[in-house]
Amino acid sequence: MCVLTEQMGETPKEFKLKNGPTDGISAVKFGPNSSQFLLVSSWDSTVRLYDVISNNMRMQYNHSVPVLDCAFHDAVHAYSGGLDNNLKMFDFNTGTGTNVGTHDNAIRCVEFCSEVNVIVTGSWDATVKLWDPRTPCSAGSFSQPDKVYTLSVCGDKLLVGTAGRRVLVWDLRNMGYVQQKRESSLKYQTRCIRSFPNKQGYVLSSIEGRVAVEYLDPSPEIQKKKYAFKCHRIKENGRENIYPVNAIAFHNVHNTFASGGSDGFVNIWDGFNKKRLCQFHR
Amino acid sequence: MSEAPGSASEWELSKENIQPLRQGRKFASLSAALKPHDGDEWSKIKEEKQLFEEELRTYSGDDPLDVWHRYIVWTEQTYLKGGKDGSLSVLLEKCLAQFQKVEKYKNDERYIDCWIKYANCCIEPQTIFVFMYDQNIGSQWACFYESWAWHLEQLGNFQRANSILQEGISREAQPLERLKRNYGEFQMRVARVMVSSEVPDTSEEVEVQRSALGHLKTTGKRSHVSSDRVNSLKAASQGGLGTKGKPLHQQRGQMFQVFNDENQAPVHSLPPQTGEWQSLPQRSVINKENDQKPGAWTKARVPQKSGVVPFHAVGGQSQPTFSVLEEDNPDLHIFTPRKVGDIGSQVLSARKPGKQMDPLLHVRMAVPSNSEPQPMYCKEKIYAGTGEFSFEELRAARWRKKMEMQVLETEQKEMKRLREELEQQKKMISEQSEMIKRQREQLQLDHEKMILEYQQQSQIRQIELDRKNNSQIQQQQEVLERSIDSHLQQQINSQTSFQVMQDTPSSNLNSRYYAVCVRITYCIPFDSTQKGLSNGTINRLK
Repeated sequence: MCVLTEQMGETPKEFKLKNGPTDGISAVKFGPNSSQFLLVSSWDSTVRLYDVISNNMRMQYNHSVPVLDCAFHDAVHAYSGGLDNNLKMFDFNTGTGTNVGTHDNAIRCVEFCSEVNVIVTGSWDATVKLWDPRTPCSAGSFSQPDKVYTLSVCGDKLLVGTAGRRVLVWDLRNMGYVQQKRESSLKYQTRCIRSFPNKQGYVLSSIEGRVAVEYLDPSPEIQKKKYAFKCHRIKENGRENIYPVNAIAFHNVHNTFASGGSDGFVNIWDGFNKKRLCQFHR
Repeated sequence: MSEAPGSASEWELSKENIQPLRQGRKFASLSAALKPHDGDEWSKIKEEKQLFEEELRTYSGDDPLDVWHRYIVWTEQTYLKGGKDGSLSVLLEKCLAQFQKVEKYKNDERYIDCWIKYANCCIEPQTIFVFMYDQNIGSQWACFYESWAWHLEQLGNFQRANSILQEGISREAQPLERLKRNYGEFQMRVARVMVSSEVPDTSEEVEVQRSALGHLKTTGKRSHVSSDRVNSLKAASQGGLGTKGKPLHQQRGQMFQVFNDENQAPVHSLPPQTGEWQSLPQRSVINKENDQKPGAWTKARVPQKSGVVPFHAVGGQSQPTFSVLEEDNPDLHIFTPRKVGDIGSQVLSARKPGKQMDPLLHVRMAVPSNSEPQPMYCKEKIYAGTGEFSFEELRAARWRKKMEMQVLETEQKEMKRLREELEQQKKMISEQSEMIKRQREQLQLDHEKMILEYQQQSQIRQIELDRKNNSQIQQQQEVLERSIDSHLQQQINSQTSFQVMQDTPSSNLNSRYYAVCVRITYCIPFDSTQKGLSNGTINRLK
């Protein structure tokens, strides 16, 4: 289930992590400072911490139900949420987990914003909640127009993608009002939003084989640069099969990003130069 | 009770905002829906809606219409403004489109109910009914004919309404009794309308309208027609369209005969069921020309035909086929050059069937076509109902269902196990009771046997005892008798009988013996002999 690719000098370029989850994987997150640790949440109700360099599983903790997302707070603290509506904090040093708070429906996304030092969760109950990791306790609940499907932190901004193809831009320093209300430039359901590491814009992928590159600056000359492209489509017997684009991940230095589709491929793109860099095999 | 008047007054305050329903509204859902949209009640409504949406996507039984119909009825009850805020018409449209090809639902009452609801929220319900009739949907149900006739009645088309109700009766639509009753009521209503409208009819007769294609009465030598066209028409009205029955005269000044098709069926009769109307008459299709998306007007361009005609070419070609009126004044001889094409060669091209010609395309989503790109995911599940679901939600719903099933299964297993245990215990208990019963019977038997034995033994013992006693008594009697005899003989012989007494082999002593002895001693007159006798008996006793 869990195939990880890793670019390294001497070790093989690609290997499979041992002791993978027993059901589908809902999220994978690298640790905040290095690429040594990888946090994996899964539909088998577990959250696992892997040491990628030595290829072993360091830790594992359980929810009672499938976990939909997880995030590192710092190197030793992880947050995760899933179908049980609970946000769970786990301390890898002590090996203890605590329930931080709840939503009214399943928690779909968990993110950590280091600039404001706050944990953000988005749920199908159409709210986004902020959590203070120091106490840890709730720091506010903010209603969204529809079920939250994806979240991305962009500096001190928060991008929320909801059902009904809406995109909302919040300022985490001032959550009193929505900074921008947008509609997705793609025709079908939003699957994933990830912001550029340079904080200028974001990439949005849809359920029907398209990825849009958009900019946060509302001025017309910047907005002119936005574009969308087709991807994750396979031609078969003269007919084009279109697959959902489920995941996007940025390289935190080069501003290039990877997109993962239901066709089983991972593509690497250069968003600024509108080029596909490479494609991983299935 | 304290809450009831509050909610009643709430209802009273917002009566205008509630669209009445034919079947009425439930008070509970009404008061819930009237609550402010951020309270608990509202979140409950949202939750219920979510549940319905989830059920639409996870239903796996053989009656999928059931979920749809419940959802539609619920939406109608919960959203007060005719379901528009709950996007009832979208829901109905999707439901109808989904089951249009399903044969078993064609005359399902719930499906017909959906159709009628859809017709009610359409701008032109007639189209829907005609479509239903054409597709033979609901032709067995009275409610179909009733609602169709009702709509026609609202429009004042009594004749057509009448023929529709008659059609329903002739097809024996169910329930027939109700249909007939409704038909009777309809006839009564029509009669009442006719009677009440007779007075305005007579006044209308006075104000005769001027009709087209009539002949006007002329006056004077120059055959002028007066300005009062209506009244001048009256005299010559036999030439107009009003006199259908009479043969038309070729009158002076009338250059053509108005064709009167006598074979044409009357307008109000039902068209034949052709079944060729394939697509659902959705509003977006019927009103396509009027539903233009808003856009910037400054950028709007009329599409030009390819090939720009140069101005001089237009001027050279402009030879009209009719003679152009030439003014006498040559100074004013300026005419606009215009292009007049060949009239015969410009045939109106048929409108090319665009993508939108199939209205089900965006409803059914997956139309199998070889050239169309095909989405490789369960699109119908993502966009079922009025909202959208993500893959994770679908998977979560499936997971929850599985969990429920598992819980149910384990419960059932537990129940089964408990039942088996109980059964076993019951069996054990019954076995034990049987054993106990058997033991008891055994005991009873034993008891009886013992009693019998005991009785026998006691009888035997008694008999033995009796016999023994008897023999002893006899012996003793014999001995006594003998001793008496010897005593008597001794007495007779005048000798003491001690010797004899001591020699008697009496082993058992009893009262008789004493009695005999006493009797004997009394018989002995000497003191010394008495003393000697008593000593002797005591010795014997020891």
